[in-house]
Amino acid sequence: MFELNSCSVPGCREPALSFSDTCAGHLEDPDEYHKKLSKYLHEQKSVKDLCLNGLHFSNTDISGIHLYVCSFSGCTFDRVNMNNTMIQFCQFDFSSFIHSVFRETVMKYNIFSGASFEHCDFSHSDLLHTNFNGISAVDTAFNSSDLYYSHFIAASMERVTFIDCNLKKVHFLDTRRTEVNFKYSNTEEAVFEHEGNIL
Amino acid sequence: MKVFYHFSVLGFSNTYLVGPEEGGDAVLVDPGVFDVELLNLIEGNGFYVRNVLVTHSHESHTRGIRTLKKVYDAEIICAMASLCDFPCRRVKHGDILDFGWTKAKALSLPGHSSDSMAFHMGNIVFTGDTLLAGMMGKTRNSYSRVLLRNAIIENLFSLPDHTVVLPGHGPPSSIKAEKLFNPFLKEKS
Repeated sequence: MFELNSCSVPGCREPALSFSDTCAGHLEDPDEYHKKLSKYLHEQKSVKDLCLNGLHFSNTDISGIHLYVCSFSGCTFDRVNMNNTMIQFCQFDFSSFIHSVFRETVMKYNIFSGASFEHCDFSHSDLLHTNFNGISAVDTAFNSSDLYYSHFIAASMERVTFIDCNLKKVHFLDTRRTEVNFKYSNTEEAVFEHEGNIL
Repeated sequence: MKVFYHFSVLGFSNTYLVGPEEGGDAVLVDPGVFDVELLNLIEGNGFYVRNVLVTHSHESHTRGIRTLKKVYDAEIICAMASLCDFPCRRVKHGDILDFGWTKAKALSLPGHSSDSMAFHMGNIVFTGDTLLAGMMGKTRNSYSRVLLRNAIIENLFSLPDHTVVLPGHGPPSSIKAEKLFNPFLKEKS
C-alpha cells in the first residue's frame, strides 16, 4: 500500500503484484498464481505488505487472518469468508464484494472507498476510522458494530442495516439512503448534514 | 518503509510514525499527544524519532511536542520559525526534505490555517487538516475556502491517483477517491 513497484510490461502503469513482476492483467499464468497465493494465504496467520490489486477471489475462506498494509484495490470478492479477521491500513477501494462476510472483524484505518457490496455482513465488528466513501451497498448489514469515526460520504445504500451500532463521529454526508435502518443506534452523534465544513 | 498510526483522544487526531524496515531513525507526523502507547510503538519497532513533521500549528497536532523533546532530540520541521518555544526548521512550498532513508516534499496549502503544509513521501501524502476523507478543512471565510480548495486541486490532485492520503483526523483515503467522492471538491476537479 505504501510502496508499490510498477508492472514490468512496457507502457503499463499498474502496480506489480506481490510474488510477480507484472500486474494482474499481465499475469502469464493466472491460475498458477492464484493457486500459489491461495496456499500462501491459508498458511499464514499474519500477512503484511502485499499488493494484490485487481485479483478475483471466489469461494475462499481466509477467516482469522491478520492483514496489515495490504492493497486489494479493484479486486472481486465472491463468497469470501473474512470472519474474525484483523485488518489494518489496507486498501479495498473500488473492489466488489458479493455474498462475503466480515463478522466479528477488527478493522482500523482502512480504505473501502468506491467499493460495491451486495449481500455482505459486517455484523459484530469494530470498523474504526474506515473509509466507506462513495460505496454502493445493497442488502448489507453492519449490525451491532462499532463504526467510530468511519465515513460513508457520498455513499449509496439500499436495504442496509445499522441496528444497534455506535455511530459516534460517523459521517453520512451526501448519502443516498433507501430502506436504511438505524434502529437502536446513536444517530444523534453521527453527522448527516453539512455544518459549514468540518472540524 | 513502515508506517504506523496513533490516535489521540484529546484532540481526536491522528499521529503517524514512519521509518525504515530495519529500524533506526524515524519521522513522526503531527504529535497531537505523546503518551506511553506512542512511546512503546516507537521503541518496540526499534525507532529513534529524529524528525518531526508538523502539518500546522493547531494544538490537536502539536500538544505532544514538549514531552517528545524530553525523550528524543528531534528536529521539528514546519512552516513556522518556532513551535512550542522550540526553534524549527522552516520549510516552504516545494522544499525537498532528505531523511537519508527517504525523502519528502513540502506542499503549502493555506486556508485552514496560514501555515498549513502537506508532506508527500513516497506513495503517501500527509495532509493534516487540509484534505480529509470526503471533506475539506474548516475555513474562516469564503476567501479562505476558495484558497484552500484551489490549493488542494493544484497541489494534491496532481499527485498520482494511487497516492494514499493520511489526514490529521478521520480515516485514510486516496487521491483517486477524493477526486471522485469529495463533495467539497468535485465541481472544480
